[in-house]
Amino acid sequence: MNEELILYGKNNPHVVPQLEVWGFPISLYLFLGGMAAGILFFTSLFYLLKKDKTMPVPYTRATYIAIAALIIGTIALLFDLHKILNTWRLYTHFDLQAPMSWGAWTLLAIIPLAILWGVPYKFSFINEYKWKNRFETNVAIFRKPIAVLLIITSVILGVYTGMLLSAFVARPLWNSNFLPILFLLSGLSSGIAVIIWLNRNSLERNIFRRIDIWLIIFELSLLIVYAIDLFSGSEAQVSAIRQLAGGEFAFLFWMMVIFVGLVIPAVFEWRELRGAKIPTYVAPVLILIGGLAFRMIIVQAGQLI
Amino acid sequence: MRYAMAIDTRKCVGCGDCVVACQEQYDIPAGYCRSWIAEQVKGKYPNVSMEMRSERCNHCADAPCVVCCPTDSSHISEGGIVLTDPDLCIGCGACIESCPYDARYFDPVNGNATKCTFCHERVAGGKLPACVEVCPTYCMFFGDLDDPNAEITKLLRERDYKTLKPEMGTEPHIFYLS
Repeated sequence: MNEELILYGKNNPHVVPQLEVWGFPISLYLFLGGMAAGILFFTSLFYLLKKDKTMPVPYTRATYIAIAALIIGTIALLFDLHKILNTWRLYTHFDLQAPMSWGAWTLLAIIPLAILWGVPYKFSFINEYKWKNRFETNVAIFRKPIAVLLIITSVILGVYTGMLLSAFVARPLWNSNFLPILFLLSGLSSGIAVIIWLNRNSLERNIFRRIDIWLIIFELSLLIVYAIDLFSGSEAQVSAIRQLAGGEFAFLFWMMVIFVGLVIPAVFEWRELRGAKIPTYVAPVLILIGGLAFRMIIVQAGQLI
Repeated sequence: MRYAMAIDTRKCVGCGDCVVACQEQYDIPAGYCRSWIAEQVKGKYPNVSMEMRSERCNHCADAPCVVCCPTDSSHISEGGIVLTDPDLCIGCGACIESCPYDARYFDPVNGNATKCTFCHERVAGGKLPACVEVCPTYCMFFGDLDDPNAEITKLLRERDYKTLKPEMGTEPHIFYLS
């Protein structure tokens, strides 16, 4: 027998017996941030590949969704802070080692960039204003640099949402170098889901479906590597991954993340590429549900062990 | 200067006076604490051993809470004491998540992340931390590791000791003598 118990004290709420400092707002932010990063990555990438005339959707409505997701995610993040009035302290300096500092500065950069990126397209309700045209032509000159900056910041945003968790040595489920890449892939896939959902052109949809199937294959393989890595680790790592593989979170994880979020949409997208008639929104909705569930399960389960 | 604490697990009876002294010293809200008593039982009857430990923030030399703090509110202050600056704290919770010892919590009154301070004001005034001062079995020792004549350095030279979760690589500054 080797039993350890707390005899006296240590009953701080939200820390003991189980850590529950980060909850749904953080999961929501990680999901929305990843999704926005995915959308912005593909819009700027396809712009730089000069596909913006033939494939318009990512540059218009999808970008607005990305802006909305970033703003909603940031609000969720802000209201999770216990001292929201002190938020400006994040911007009095930059801490290279703290993922949250990276995140704060990235958000500060990517939100204005995304707005500048979205503005020149079809804001019909402000069309009558003269300054709008002048503003558009000015922004249009900088489209290329904005696209390059968006690619860089969106990759940082996508990776950082995982890095935020993986930097904690004390939480074995999070402390894996695979997590940032998993979150990036999942975010790219969620971004593509939004682009497909908003798209009415089947040729354009199929291009993104093909990319998405590959992303899902990568994500599934990386999940397997992530699990093997933890299963071959220390006792704490093994019990952490057991929660997902066969323990408390197993049903949710396998059901919502593996099947609903990855396998089923990949099969649907593959059938759609082969010409099957499935409503367009089905696969994207499943991917988005899976992406949110993945963040929620990882955030929750990571704090238990 | 490197302040550290040594706790004799053979003398500790787990009375909890250190916990209460700390709560009194800092007017800690009911239901919260900055130190606590852990009991570890090993073996099978009749070969059983029990260890009592008074635990708190380990004031790690390589503190994960200091590394992950985005505003530098968590910092290593004079004498290696890990402190939080309430003016800089935004209450994000990263330090609470990062602590392998679960030593931190959100102060319910002002929202700051807070924890054991090694009673740095008392120590600066030449006094001992409140928990060490009240210990009825004199099992707690506080001192400077860089001072070769301090009682704590002598004890660490002469006796077996361990730190908690050394595998985390945080270099804790609380030593448990056995």
